[in-house]
Amino acid sequence: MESGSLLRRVIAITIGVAVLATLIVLPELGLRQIQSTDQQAHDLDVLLAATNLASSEVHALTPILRAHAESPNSDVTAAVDARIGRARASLAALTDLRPLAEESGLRPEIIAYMTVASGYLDEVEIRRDLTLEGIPVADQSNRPRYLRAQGEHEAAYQALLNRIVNLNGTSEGHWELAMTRARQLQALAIVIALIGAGAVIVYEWRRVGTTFSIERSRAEAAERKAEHRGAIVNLASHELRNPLAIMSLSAQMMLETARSAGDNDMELAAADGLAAARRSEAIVAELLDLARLDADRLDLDSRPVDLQSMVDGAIELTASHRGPRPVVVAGTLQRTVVADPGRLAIIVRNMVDNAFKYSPDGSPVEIVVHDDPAGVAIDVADSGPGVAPEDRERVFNRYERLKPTRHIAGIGIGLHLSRELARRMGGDLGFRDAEQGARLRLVIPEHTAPDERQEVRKIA
Amino acid sequence: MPDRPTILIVEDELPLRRLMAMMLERHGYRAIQASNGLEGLERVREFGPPAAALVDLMMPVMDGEAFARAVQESHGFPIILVSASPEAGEISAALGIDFLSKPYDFEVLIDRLRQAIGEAAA
Repeated sequence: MESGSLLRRVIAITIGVAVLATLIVLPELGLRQIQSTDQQAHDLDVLLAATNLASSEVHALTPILRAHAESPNSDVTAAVDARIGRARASLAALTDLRPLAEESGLRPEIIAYMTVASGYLDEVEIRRDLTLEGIPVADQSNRPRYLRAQGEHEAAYQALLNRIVNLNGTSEGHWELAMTRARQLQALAIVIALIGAGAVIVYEWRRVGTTFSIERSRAEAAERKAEHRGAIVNLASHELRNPLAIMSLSAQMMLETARSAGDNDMELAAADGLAAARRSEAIVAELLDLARLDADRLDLDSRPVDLQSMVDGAIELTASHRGPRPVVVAGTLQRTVVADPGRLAIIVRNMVDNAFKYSPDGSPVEIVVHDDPAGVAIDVADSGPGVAPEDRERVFNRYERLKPTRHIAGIGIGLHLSRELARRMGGDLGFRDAEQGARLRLVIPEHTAPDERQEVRKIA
Repeated sequence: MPDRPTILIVEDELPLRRLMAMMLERHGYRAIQASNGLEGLERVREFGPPAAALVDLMMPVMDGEAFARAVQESHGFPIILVSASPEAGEISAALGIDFLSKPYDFEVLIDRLRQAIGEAAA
């Protein structure tokens, strides 16, 4: 979960940076391209001028050569040589331009120009030689020497033309080329951005899909787990309760036998056995209710319940294994509340057990009964270490055990379950301020109408 | 003693059935045992309808619910469902019979039995 979110962030940041960089770099690249093509256009103009010069020199030779053919003389030959000399100078100028052309990335073009110019010169020189040899101009074009030189020159010229056509030969063309390149870059940026966005969408979709499927499988697993747990708890409680019933009944029978025989040791042993079975049964009942809470299947059977017998039962059961304690009752327990008897027994037992468990052996436990706007309030107070105000809510969390009390056996379900049960019965359970020790208060609705069941029993 | 009320115990767990029978005998009842619902019905045919029956819910061959329905259709003696099963409360309520959760105090059991027999006699 953590690494997935980190990966997602890294991918998003990378794509963002890539798109931003492309958008920043794009105009820069376009500008460079334009500048570069401008430079190329300038260089090309220089080269064209140089070539035209060379070309014009060659073309200027034509009438001279024609005149020489009509009346050969040394003046004409000298003129031709002079022209060739100037043309060669033009070629030298072109050669000088070569580094510039290379720098501008126009090397193929300048080579093409030079080749063409050189071809012109070769052609002119051959014509000059042929003229000096007395061959008429009309026949000169058929001479193999001339044809070969002309062929080479034509090929070079064609190659140059191809390059010029590519460059279009004008500034406008270069601008168009620059814009085309810029648009290509723009298209590339858009493609990159789309791929990035697509990647993000695909990644997010897969992540959401994965998360969804993970959550679904988690929910299914949790449901299966809850079902299994429920089944296990049901089975365990049933399987535990049958042997507990046997133990309980055996202990009751032994207790009766010991009592009638006056065997005090046997009576005590049987009573302890019976109390142990009852305590086990109480734990099973709590576990079962916890499972019902988890499954949201806790059905309450609320009815009028006598508070006195409830508290007496809790004290008796707690004292059976924690030892007897003086219990001081303030107020009267002769009150009837409305509660599910089994569940109220769990709550009161937990309250009394907590007081016994977390206070020094033999120290008194105080039970105070008083009125509350919500019904009857029952406080169970001890003289133990108490619960710090900041921990008073935390102890009601399931499996919560406070550090100072962890050496005392327990699993931390009693208070959690008790509060849940109290609230479901219209009451509440919580710690109250106490001068010393802990003071746990249960508020439970009071039964106001006469107890009909008891009335019926009395009549029967 | 012919005036001893007969209690039918229908319980598949032998030690528990035997203990219940012993305790009932000690408290002045006549106990008849059966290990499942079908056996329970056979005992009823054999010994006649008991004063009341203590019936477990989960049993092989014929469970407590089926036994209770069969009894309600024919003889109609009081039945107390005695079970450790969490569903026993709902089932007994649906059948309209008394329910006692395992484990239980024998005193409570005797109290419920007296009540059931008394109500049946009334």
